[in-house]
Order: sequence, then structure tokens, then C-alpha cells
Amino acid sequence: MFITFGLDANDTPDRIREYVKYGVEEFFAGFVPRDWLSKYGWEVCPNRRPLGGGYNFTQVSELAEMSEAVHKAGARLNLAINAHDNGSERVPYLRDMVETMEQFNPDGYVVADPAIMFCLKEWGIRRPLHISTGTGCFSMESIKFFSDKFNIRRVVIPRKLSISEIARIVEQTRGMNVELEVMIIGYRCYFNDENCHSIHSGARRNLCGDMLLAKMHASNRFPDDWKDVATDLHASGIEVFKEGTRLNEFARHLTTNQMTPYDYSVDLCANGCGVEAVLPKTLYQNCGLCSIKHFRDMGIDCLKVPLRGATDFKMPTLAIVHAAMTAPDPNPDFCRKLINSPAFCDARIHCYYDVPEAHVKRENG
Amino acid sequence: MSKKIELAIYFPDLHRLEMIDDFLKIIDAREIPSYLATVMFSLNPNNYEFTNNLSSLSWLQLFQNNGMDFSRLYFGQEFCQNLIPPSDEVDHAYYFSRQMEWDFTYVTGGYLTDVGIAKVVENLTCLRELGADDCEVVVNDWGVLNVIHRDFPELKGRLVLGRLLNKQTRMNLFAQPGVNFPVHMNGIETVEQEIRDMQVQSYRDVSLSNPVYLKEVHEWGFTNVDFDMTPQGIYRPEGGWDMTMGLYYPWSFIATARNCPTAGLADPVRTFVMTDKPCGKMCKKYNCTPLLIQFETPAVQRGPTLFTYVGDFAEHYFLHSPYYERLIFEPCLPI
Repeated sequence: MFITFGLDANDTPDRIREYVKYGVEEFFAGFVPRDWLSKYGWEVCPNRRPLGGGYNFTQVSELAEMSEAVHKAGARLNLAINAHDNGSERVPYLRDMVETMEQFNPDGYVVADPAIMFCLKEWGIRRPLHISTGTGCFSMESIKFFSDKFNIRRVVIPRKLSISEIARIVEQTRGMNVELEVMIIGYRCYFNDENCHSIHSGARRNLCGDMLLAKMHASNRFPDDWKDVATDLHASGIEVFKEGTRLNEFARHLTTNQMTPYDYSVDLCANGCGVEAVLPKTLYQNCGLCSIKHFRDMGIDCLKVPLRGATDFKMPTLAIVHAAMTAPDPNPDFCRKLINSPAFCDARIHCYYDVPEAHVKRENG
Repeated sequence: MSKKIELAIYFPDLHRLEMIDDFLKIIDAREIPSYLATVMFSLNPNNYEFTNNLSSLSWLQLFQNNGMDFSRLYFGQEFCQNLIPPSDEVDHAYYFSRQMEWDFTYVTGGYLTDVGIAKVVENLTCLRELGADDCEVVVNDWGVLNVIHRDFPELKGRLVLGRLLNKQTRMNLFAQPGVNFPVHMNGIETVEQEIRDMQVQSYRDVSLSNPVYLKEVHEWGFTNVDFDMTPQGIYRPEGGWDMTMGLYYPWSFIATARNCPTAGLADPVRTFVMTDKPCGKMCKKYNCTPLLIQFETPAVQRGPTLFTYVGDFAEHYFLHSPYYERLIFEPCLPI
């Protein structure tokens, strides 16, 4: 098992050498050329990191330097061109981008849109493809669909699968000569990545962040006969404002057995034990350390640490993933010690995957 | 509306198909006294589904007054594999469509695991056994397409590229009329409005217009493509991709997931992550919607999917865009 790690323009050759010491065998990066930027801005992004300059390379010279540093360090570099959708007008720009990248001998391309997979083939690119999580391969059948058509080295398994569902994919794809990669920490997406069609921007609030801040409102759905209720009540006049009327029954239906949604805004108090939850929450957002043992045991090849644009967070995050990945028995107790915030770990909203045994002790008192 | 447009009606399950008359019953919301409207439709985003049903029916009535009527039933579940209708429901829905002398389209879902795909296979087998030789299938998952190519080759030529595989950007949440949406201009020298205009143009364009891809889509057996209505519109090239184009109305989805806040009402863990426990299907009884007050376009969440009502800009499609061939009317949220 090894780590694939996101690079951005703030990374340096020295940093790359450091990352490699922490189990990174492969890097991925995005490139947004100046002519693309001048035309489309940041929001229409070829690689789903549309938040601004810190997330991507924009200069060919930086890309060249980085590529050389990665290869010198004995690692691989893949270019991410994994936008979900690529309108036909953008395709010539993407081709230029790929041709630029080809000068630096990338080790592969991370792609989400089948249209671009076919374009790469058409352009004579024979390098291995990594099927991005943005494609949405939730089954062995979907992996077969792509591996029959393209030179697929790896499939990035979508985040929204249970560990046993992932294990089933691993089992079923044995012998297919396809590596499997899982996300393990950091950006988790509120919705499914491949089916979130909202626009991200560094200039405004984004849907996923707002979903985590929004108050959820749960209520009973209307009864099936709500239109009859409305017309009958209209005919009945003001008399309906009494107990026993259809209006009262309707109102009662809406308020009976009301449920309370999970409150994301709840403050997580550490009670003096370890660091306050808000610190790891800011640093890691979501954490899947406790699932690494499962993934290693089932035969997952690669852990993705997707921290493009989060320069200061990279080393501490990489260090804990590496520690869990290389530990002989990275059980939940071991992983919790790495995080050192029981309050963070106890709140399952922070979990990348459901690992019931990580919560058994606390829930049983 | 001079062009012949096929009118389809979409139900996700048999229970709601059986309520078709209720869903299509027109009542004039303006006739409801305000004191009743206050009690019934209080300012709860979950209730938009019901008020918007009334608004959308007035457009439907306009279509019907112009001589159009339903001639196709869409049936099936796009957004949650726990809710895929069993084969006996598909059987009933198919016979319903025969009785009405409507054509039939079976709608399959997206992001399916092999368990979900197995349910789809059961339903496709059921349709084959029913002799549904002319039924269409909406494909929303690459794994389902793989199975169809291998095990149901007779469906080639009757496939619809669904709205979950046909990845349009949804501008809905930033489409406040008359207000420019924000653009991140850091490091960019181009005039801001030019960038904004180019982005909108770009959001109209879709991968299907890429000839290299379109050729494959045709070879895969797709003859139709379905879209959501978006505020920015859709750029459809001359020739229309050589496919029939359908538009969903009045509900467009913005985002969807497998984790589900509505399932989380019974089992909070499901709000964030996938578990192996069976789903309590709380969405059959509850809506659980985020109050996204900073967005102008109201959103409604049903199960794992965030929908938006397209009423504000559908008129443009209806009156000024003679470039679609099918309208897929959603009398209810399709979950």
C-alpha cells in the first residue's frame, strides 16, 4: 500500500523529497494554463479545484520543475484532468494542455469524463488512465465497462461506499489487473462527488459548505389527500378552526412523530481530554484512519491524500496517514492516539467511512 | 409550441402511479383563503413540493389545451437503490401504460453497487418476459450500461442517456435574476463580465457535443438524451446530436448522494457515511431539507437528493426553445 498525494504550485522540490519519505510513491497535480484562465476564469476548471491559484499549476516552468523533482525523487506524477463535463469548445484547450504535459513524461492521467478518455485515445495518448472518483465506479460492472475500453491502471473508488461494499469490489476485480485507490482524509464532499453539479468558487460560499452549516428542517410529508383537504376546507369557511375538523387533522398529521435531524453545528467539547475537536476538524475535516487496516487487509493498493491548496496542512496530515498505514496494527485505539482528540473522533460526522468498532467502547459506556 | 412534442409523465413507484389522478388534480391556489394557506403551506421548504405541484399543473394545462396529452410513462428510481421498485411494480406499471395506450420507459438509477444492478437486472428480465419489445430504458450508471450491452443487447437503439450520466452544471443556486453571480478574479486580467459571460456559455455546453464522444454514445445504442432545465440553458448544436432530447419539468436536481439526512433521522450515521444496515426509508414519510437561506432559488431535499423547482426559467424553454422533443412531467419529487 502506498500514498498518492496532491501537489500544487506552493510545493517545492525539497517538500517533494520530504513527502516521499512519508510513503508517497505518486503525485497528482492540476494545470490551468494562462490562456484558459484568461478565457474561463477559475470556476470553469479542468480538474475540479476551481478555488484559485493555490490549488493548481498555472506556469509551464513550474510544472516542468515539479515534474523533474518528482521523477528525481523516484516517484510518479499524474495530471488530473478530471472535470465531470467538458463542453466541446474547451476540448482544444485541453488538448493543448495535454500536449504541454506530454513534454514532461507524465506517468498517467486522472480522468472523470468518458468524453476525455476517448479524446486521449484519439490524440494518440497511450499512457495509463486513472478513473477518477468523479466517474462514479460503484460496481465491478462499471469498472469492467471502462477497463474493456481503455488502458486503465487504476480506479479511484467513490467515497460513498461502505467498507464491505468496497471489499466486494476488491474481491470481484481480482485478476483484472486494475489497481484500486480510496480517499482517506480531507475533502469528503457532502454529496456524491460525481453527482454534485453545483458550482464551486473561491469568491463565494459553496453548496457543500453551506450544507454543513444549514439548519436541516424535517417534517412530515403531506397526506395523500391534501388537495381534497384544501378544497373541502375552502368550502367550509372559518368553521374549520376547531378541534375535530379536517384542518386540525391535517395540522396534526404534519406535527405527529416529528423527527430531529442531526445538528451539524453542535459544539464538540473535549472536557479537558486531548485537543479540542475544532482543531482536528479544521485540519483534517474528515478522517478515515480507522479504516486503513480494513483497506490494507482487503488489498486496496493506494490511499489518496487530496490536499491540493492546503499547503500548511500537508505534512501533519501526511504524517498521520503514513503512521497508520505503516503500523503493524492500526486499530481504532492506535488511530485515536494519532489524532489525540476524543471529542473529534467520537462525533461520527467526521468519519470518512463507517467503522463501527471505532465507536463501540464509547457507545457502550 | 408549434413543434410536436411528446408528453411523458414520470412516477418513481407504484404507490404514486396509483395516485395519478390526485397528482394531476388542479386546484387554484389563489382560491384558497390566506388563513388556510398559512396553516397548510407554512414557510417550510419541505412544502414547496406541494405548492409547486399546483404551479406546474397550470403549465401542463396549457400544453393540454394546445392538443398535447400524455403518451408515455416514465417509471423507476434514479436516486436511491434502496427504493428501486420490485419487478411486480414494474409489471403493474407496464400494464398501466398499455391500458392507457402509452409508451413505456423504464428508468434505472445512478451510482449503483452490484446489489443495485442486480435489482435492475431483475426488472429488465421482467420486462423482457412481458414482451415489452418497444420499451425504452433510461441509463444512469455505467455498470448498468455494461450489463445491458452484455445481457440485454436487444435494448440497443432504445436507450436514453439519463440526467445522472449527462453531467450538466446546474447554475440554479446562483441564478438570481438581475444579479451577477460572483466570480473569483484573483490573478486574472480579463474584464470580469467577459469571464462571467464565457462561464455561462461554457455551462451551456456539454460533453455530448464532443464529436469523438458522440460517436461512441451512438454506438452504445443511445437514441435519446434527457436533461434537466437549467437557468443558463443548453447549447444544442444543429442536428441535435442526432438524438431525441427530453427535458424534466418541474424538478431539476442539483446534487445527490448515497449518504442521506432523511435516512439519518432514524440512524444519524447514515447522514454522513454508508453503512451496511438496511435503510429505514424515512423518506416515505418525511422530507428533510436544508434551509439554504443565502440562495435565492428554493431547494427541496427528498431523501439524498437536493432538487430545485425550475418554474422561474422553464417559460423560456417552453416559449422560445423549439429544440426539445419530449417533456417529462414530474407530478411529484421522483423519490
